[in-house]
Amino acid sequence: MPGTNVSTDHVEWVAQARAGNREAFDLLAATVVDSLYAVARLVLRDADRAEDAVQETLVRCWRDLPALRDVARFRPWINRLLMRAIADEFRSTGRQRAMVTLLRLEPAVADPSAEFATREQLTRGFERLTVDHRAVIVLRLYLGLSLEETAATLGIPVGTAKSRLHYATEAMRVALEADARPRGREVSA
Amino acid sequence: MNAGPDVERLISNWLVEEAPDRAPDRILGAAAQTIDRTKQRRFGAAWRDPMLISTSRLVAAAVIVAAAVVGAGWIGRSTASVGDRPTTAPATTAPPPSGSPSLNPAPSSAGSVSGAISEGTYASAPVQVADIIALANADTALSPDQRTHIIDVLFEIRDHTTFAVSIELKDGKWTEKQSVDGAEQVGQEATYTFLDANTVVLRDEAGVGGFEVTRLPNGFTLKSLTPQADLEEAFAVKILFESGAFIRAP
Repeated sequence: MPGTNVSTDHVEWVAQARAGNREAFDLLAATVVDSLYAVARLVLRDADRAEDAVQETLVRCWRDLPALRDVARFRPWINRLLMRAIADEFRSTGRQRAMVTLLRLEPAVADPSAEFATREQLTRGFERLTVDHRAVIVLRLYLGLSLEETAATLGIPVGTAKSRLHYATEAMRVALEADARPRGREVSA
Repeated sequence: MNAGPDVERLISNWLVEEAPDRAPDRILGAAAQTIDRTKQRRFGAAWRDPMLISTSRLVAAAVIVAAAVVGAGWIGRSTASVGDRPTTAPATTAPPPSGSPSLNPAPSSAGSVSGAISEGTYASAPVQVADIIALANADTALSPDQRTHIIDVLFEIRDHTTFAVSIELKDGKWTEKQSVDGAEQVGQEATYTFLDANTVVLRDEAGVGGFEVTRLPNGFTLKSLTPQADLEEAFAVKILFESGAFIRAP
């Protein structure tokens, strides 16, 4: 799991980058890009769009960094930028992609590996979620953010984050159970 | 299948397996190309390259700032008193050699122009965060995304109560600070020069910007002279600098 904090050394880079030092920003970007990409890739489920979202995040980060008051809070701040870029990316092409995903007609296959089958079920269940629900799942269960941090990152009330997490995990659970049952044909929504 | 922690643990493990370890190298390269053409937002005065500023006053000011810096350097190395107007310093005159460092190398911007704001700390009255959010929501020119960006990224004030701005003028340095629920952080730092009693010019590595200054008995109000790049920037400058008076702190 990627780290969620910026080290003490990196705080200095943030401060310098905020003051307009491009070299410091490049170092900072190299430090956070892997984590940003992992989150974007997980939420968007698409490598190209994840790349676009991360690129946009880094550009917005450079542009708006002077507005960051507390350099020690760089991580949650850039995560907010990332989630916004992901939402923008999803909006631009997400509906079409979501429809494609929903229309996939894949019968539940009795896989010889139960572990592999579970991964497939999780993949299908996750892809059925909206981007808002995926975001909560990734922030909470991948990055390990608290509910409060998740809510702050997404700019939503804690109660909303909690209900989205509950809905998303419940939907995943239902997907696991439903996919585990024999069936004839998956029906699109 | 059990609900709750079991499902969450399954999902968590699956996410770790699914997540790529590394981002493609081309992301940094592609982002860098765009960043090369992207200026940082400087809300202090909406910094711009001097040649891009439409206000002729600021273009002239950029020249004067440069002259002031040269002049101040000359003055700082001479025995002239700090605060003398530096514009009379001839650019072609070589500074006298001196082995001792200047005690006050920075231009004394405030005292160089009659009627300019004197050094000190000036603070705006704290405003309720709820009022800022209400203003953003009432601004029909802003999209919902822009409102969210302003509140969560540019100001970071969601779930806070009060917001205040102060400006410190000292030794030629303009330091803008923002206080959220009493916790103060430095926002922008720049050198400043008064072009005349009603015009202050700010400069940092990113460029130059400025404000029209209206004096009050114990403070001043500001109005940006620099056109803002977009609606978010315009809103931020309005909230930070144009919403009320800056009163000299005791």
